Amino acid sequence: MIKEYLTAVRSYLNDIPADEREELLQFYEEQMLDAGYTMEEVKEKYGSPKQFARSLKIEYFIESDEVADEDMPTSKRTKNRVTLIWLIVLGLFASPILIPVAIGLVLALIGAFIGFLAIIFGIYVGIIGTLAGGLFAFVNGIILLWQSVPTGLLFIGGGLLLTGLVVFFAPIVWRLTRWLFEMLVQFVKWIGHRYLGKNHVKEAQ
Amino acid sequence: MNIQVPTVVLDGSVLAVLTKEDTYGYIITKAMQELLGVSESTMYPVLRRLKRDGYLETYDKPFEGRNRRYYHITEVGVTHLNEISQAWVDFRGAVDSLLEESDD
Repeated sequence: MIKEYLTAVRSYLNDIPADEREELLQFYEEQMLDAGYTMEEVKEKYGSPKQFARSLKIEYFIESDEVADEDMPTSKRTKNRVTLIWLIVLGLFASPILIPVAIGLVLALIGAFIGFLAIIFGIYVGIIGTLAGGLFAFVNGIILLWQSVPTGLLFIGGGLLLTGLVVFFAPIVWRLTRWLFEMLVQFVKWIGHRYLGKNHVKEAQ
Repeated sequence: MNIQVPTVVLDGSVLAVLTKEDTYGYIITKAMQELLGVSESTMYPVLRRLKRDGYLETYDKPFEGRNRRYYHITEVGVTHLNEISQAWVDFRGAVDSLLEESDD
């Protein structure tokens, strides 16, 4: 019976690497068998296979994100983080926590995400605009040079200044982007921990 | 009222349980549940991390047609436990003296 329950749980855990998945399942299988739970008690404590798998996945992705700093390539880490955000949003929709709280949290998340995108979009439009303006002024300045040297020089100078500003600020903006993403991820992880992770598994009485 | 157990205290408690003898998951989680009120879903990441950091090792032993995973504390683990114990003594002393002040 418990084997079947765990087989069902396993079928929902495809995004966890095989060796870690088996280790995880072995741990919980031992817990269930050693505690001598009946099938009812397992369901009471861990929920349906799908619910249990979901909280295991959230915990797994939160934890692997916390230890991922050095050895994991950034692209893989970002991918894991996007998976994590997605899992938590899905989890909130399906969670047993009070509906108004869940809706509030989902709205807060969507708000945070739109805010994040809006800021990023604004910044990058600003940068590209400045860069385009700078290059345009520079090229125009060269053309104007044949008509009037001072105007041409003014445009060339302005163009160089704008281009220089972009080159100077681009790394800062890039860091700001990463920082904002980091904040977003921390916020989502906090929600996941608070509402969906460990606390979701009921304490044994 | 419960005090949230800091991760380093969880680490120390698990390692301390294992200094007596190697044991399997359920014995560890049961001890942590009874004494500190911590659930097994909290303990899984703790055990995993301690293993990854080389403070403990695991091996499987057959039991009633299945395997039980036994945990064994390593030498590095013992050293780590001593550090935690020392840090805990300092911490406890500091908190005790603050709490006693409020009694006067």
